[in-house]
Amino acid sequence: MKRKLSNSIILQAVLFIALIALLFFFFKLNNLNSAEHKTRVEVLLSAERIDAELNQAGLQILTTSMRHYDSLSALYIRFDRLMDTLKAQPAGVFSATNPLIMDDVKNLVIHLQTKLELIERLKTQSALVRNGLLYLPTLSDEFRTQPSLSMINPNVYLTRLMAYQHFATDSTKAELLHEMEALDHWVQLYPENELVSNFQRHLLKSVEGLNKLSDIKKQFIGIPTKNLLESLRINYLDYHEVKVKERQQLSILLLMLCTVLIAFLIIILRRLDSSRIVAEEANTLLHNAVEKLYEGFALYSAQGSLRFTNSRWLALYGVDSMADYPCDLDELKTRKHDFIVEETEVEDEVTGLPFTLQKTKNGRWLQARDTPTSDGGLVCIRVDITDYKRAEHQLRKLGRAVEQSPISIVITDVQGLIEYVNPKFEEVTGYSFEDVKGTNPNILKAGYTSEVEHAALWHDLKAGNEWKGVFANRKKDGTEYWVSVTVSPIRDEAGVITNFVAIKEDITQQKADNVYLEMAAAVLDATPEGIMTTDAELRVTAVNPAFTEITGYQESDVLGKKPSMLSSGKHDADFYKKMWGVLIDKGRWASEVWNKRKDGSVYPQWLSINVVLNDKGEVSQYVAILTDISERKAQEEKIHYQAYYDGLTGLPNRSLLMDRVEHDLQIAKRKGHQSGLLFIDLDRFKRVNDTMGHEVGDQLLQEVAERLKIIIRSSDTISRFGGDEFVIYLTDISGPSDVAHVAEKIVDALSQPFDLNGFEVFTGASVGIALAPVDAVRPDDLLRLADLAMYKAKESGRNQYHFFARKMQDKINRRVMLEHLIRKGLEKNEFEVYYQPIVDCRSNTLFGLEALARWTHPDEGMISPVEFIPVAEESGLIAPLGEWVLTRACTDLVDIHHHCEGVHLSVNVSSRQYPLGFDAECVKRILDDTGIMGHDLSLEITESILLDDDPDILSWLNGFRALGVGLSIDDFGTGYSSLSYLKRFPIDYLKIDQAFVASLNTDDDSTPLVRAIIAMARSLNMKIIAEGVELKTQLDTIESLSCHYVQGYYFAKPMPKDQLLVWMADYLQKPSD
Amino acid sequence: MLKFISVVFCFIVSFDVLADEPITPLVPIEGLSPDKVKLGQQLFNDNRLSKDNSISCASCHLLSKHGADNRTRSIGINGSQGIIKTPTVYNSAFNFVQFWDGRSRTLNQQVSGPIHNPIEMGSHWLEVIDKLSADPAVAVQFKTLYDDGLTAANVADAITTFERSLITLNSRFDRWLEGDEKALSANEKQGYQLFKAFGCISCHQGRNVGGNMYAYMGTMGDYFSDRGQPITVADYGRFNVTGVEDDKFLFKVPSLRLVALQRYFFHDASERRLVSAIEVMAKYQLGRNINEQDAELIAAFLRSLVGQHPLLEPQ
Repeated sequence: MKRKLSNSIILQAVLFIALIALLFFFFKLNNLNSAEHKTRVEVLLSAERIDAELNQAGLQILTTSMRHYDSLSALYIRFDRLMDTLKAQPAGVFSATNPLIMDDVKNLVIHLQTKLELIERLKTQSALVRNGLLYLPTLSDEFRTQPSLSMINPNVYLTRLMAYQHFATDSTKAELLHEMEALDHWVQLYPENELVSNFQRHLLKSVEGLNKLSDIKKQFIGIPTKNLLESLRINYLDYHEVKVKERQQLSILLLMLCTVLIAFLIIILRRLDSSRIVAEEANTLLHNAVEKLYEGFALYSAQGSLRFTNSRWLALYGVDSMADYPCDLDELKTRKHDFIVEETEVEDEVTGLPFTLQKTKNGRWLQARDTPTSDGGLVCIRVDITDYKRAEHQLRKLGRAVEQSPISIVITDVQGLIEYVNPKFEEVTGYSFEDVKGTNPNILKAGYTSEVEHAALWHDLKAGNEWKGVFANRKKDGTEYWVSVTVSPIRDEAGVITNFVAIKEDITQQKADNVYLEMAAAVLDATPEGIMTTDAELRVTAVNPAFTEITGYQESDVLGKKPSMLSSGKHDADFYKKMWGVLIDKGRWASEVWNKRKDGSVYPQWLSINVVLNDKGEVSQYVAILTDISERKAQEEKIHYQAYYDGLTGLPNRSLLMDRVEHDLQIAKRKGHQSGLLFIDLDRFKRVNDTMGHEVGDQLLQEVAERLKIIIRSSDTISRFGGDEFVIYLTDISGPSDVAHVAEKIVDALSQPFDLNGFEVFTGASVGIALAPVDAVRPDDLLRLADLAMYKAKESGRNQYHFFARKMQDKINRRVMLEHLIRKGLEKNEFEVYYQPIVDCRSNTLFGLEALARWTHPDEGMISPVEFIPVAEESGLIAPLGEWVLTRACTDLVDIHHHCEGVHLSVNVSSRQYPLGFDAECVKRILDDTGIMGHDLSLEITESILLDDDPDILSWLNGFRALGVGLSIDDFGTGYSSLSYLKRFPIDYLKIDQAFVASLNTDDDSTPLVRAIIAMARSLNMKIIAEGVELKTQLDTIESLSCHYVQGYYFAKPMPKDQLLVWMADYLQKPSD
Repeated sequence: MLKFISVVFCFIVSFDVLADEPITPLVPIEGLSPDKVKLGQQLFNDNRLSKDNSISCASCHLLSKHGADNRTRSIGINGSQGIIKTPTVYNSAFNFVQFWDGRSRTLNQQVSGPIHNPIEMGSHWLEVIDKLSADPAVAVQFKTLYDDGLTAANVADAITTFERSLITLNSRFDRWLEGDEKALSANEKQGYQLFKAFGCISCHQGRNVGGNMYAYMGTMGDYFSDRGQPITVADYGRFNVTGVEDDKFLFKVPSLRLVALQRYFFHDASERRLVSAIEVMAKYQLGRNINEQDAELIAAFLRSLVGQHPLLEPQ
């Protein structure tokens, strides 16, 4: 039956494994496919992203808005990685899909590579075109230096070229080629003139370059990567969907197979179960019977395997469960020593039958009998005989104890005649057992014990009592020694005395022990720690000489007194309460304590108190140990001192410096000397730290500290404030020139290069100086002012020093005051709007007005916008101010329109207004409120806001445009004037900065530049307004350059509305000339 | 007109210091394992990389000089002569492709080039690995740094890692870019403005002042016929890689970071003076005549581009 059972188990296991394997493959298949799918989708996404970035790069190169090409390197690396995943034969990660997809991949690889090649060509050609366009205006200017060429107008060609560059249509190309033919005519006319031929050569190269660029652009745009990617994506997703469906079907099939297997398994398990129940019942009967046996029982089969055993068997061998016991005789043979340590063949004393005596590992003695059965098996029975064995052993042990006892033992019979002496007795007395056997112990007597005592001894013993006493005994050699003796009677089972046993302890040694106690007392006297003991009631019982030395109290002064007489009064009741708490709880307590000497002086001591308990656990005494710690105290102060220094440079830190400055300023108050504080900040320290690492940075700071130390006197303080800031305090100086001298030396020393790790490092320092008591008399103020001056030094170009000046403080105060005044001014309506006319050059008619904020404060008078606009921008007040100006100007415009229809209004908008929430909605509200049309208004912004190339800015500006409001760029030419960004933003007007107008017709003639700006503006469909026209000659030049509008003092300065209306009436009546 | 352009540029410089300059400062490449750099340096100087154990990478790329030798053509094994001037190894990590004709995209691919070239080291990876594995010290170094020990890929990786540490930092020009006004003299600043105004900047831009695009040698004039020397295979440049007719005479624009230290200029080493080289560039690349004074100013600017490296002789 057993065999049947194990066969089923094997079958069962095989089925299980098959089932698990099926499930495993099923999930693995699923996972594998989804991981592959994920990779492919990622590759697809990455390809789309890279394609988009390549398109963007191409566009940026075409619009020359890429300052350099370093940023493309990262894109190229990603591109290469993508190619690696796609190019492995036959189609990279898309191999083993379908031919449609693989074709798409191959095409995509080819086209993407072509795209990359075209980008390289774009870069090359774009550089050529850019240089041509840069150089041609220079050449065209040279024509004016040759009067003989005055017939040629080179600007015509430039304009055509620009038109072709920006709008590469057939018509612009035709116009350009037409003009070029004309140029060819001039070249033939002036064959010797190098300028003309050079101009033509560059023009031709530019045209050729532009043509090529245009061709490449067409090829670039024509690359169907987008379609390919789209097709690849659709094809792949279709493919994936089919695959998923296939897999689903397969999964269902697998699941069904699993279900069948499970059903099969259940049937087998049930059958197994019923046969197992029958077998178990028979087994249980046998088990119960054997289990009840007190003997250990085991049955081995003919093959030697353990068939059966009871728990007693296992317990006898010290085994917890069957599993730990060998399952057959062979294994038992090899592991025998795990259970049996000793085995001897013995014959039973009573029956004469042989048996085996076993000693088990857990110390039991077993009687073992193994009997063969009829079928060749073996029945084994074990009986526990440990208790007999233990009794036997006990006896032997006691005998040995007596033999080896360190105390002399004598056993006599009832008559007192010696029956036994132990070896110790022989050793102590010098008598051997043979000498004393059968004699009376009296032979040892030294004779000091009286007969009466002897009689008492025997009386006690015979009464059956124990006797104790001390004898002086004599050894065989005659020497005497002292013994403490205990004599006891020994009785048999019936209670009759059979023997006496005398136990003799040599106490000669004890008598010598008192000497040690005396030595301990000497140690107590010699120790440097003061020791005081008290009894449980806290009365002093003893003190040592060190106590006297530390406290000054003699033993006689304190004996019987309470220890509280030592207290200094520095500790409160709470302190002692805590002390007693710990003492009672833990039995000891230690702390630093201030006590008072006999002479009244107070000193720190380390006091530790121990409680001594008696046998009953009650307090018997307290022992206090006192150590004088005045010296340790001094060391702690040293550590505290180190907290005042900077770890890196070893210089005093901020707190020490501030302490010293405070101290010195106190002295200065009495003695009246001057002092200077220098605040030093290293220039470009952060860069050193970032590019060369912190270690180099730290090294630099240490070197700086060394250089600074050389410069100052020993009476001055130099300190590091953390980071790259150092502060030097010069005391008792004769005047500012002293400080300036030191500052010069510092700037000079720190601008020399530092040699760090083989690098030459340049730093330099900005130094701010404040003087006491001139600038400030408090340390904090002094430091703050020096810091302020340091910033001033930094602002004015680094690597220099700067004294604090009252003006700096005043400037800040003025700012704060202005902010306050602007706030008030807005409330009190102190602001006004002035208008400056803008005139149309061609018709000489009034085109429009620029609205300008003006402010007259009742006390401060006129405050210039140059002063208040920056403050308003910084404080955010530009938001209400800007809105107020716009509202005011729009309201005024309604009135102005009554006098002159269609006059245009131009209002400045600060870039700060953008983040403050000024937007199209705001403008629309004002337009609605005042009834002004959008096209009557334009907003002036500065170039700086466009530089960020922020899509949000673009939509902000487009919001205004949607209302019909125009946009103009103010102060054009002072910032970074780039054609490319102007093209991207919806700009209507360019206002040429007055600086350019002012230098027209002067030595620094700006005419060509202005002409270039105008030509560019025209190509972009923008109108030009020239600002700051003051002179007739300027006006003439500007008109000759075909500028649209002008504005300036030549016509009118900004003025309030009333004056403007008068001026308008006058101007409008003038005949236009 | 020129004066005005510089006026405008001055505005740019003072308003927007770093953001808008077409040249940016060199920065060290982060995250290089110091042990691999050390191993790479050792291999860079190892003659066993050549067939007859006569030359190493360092034989032609002199690190104490400008990362290349001072010859018109370098000498390979058996005294054979190269066909093109050796370019510098300094800052090459920032080039968008390697070799004059860009035939390697990465430094890693580049390493095999000279090792296999019969007129340079004339060896083969199998041979190199054989020789190196005979040296237990080398094998142990590779075992500790790389999971798969001494392989061709790992030799290339170590050399590349070392080459990526060869960045010349802290040049005076870079310090000026970072805001140190005094790092450049007035002449050097003027030279830089001319460099931009003439249009040199169109090709020589980015942190490497070149090395990130291709350009034709002789865009505005026939350089090769004026040179007087017959055209060689090397003169065809990128054409040798792509076979496209349009790519004839197209080369990678070289970095100018250390150009001031060079003894010979251009791929054919046809010029010996920096100022003459600038004049040739103006004539053939920009179609302009530059006067000696302007060329000297540009040369002064180029000298300010030379940075520092512990292996480079201090200037």
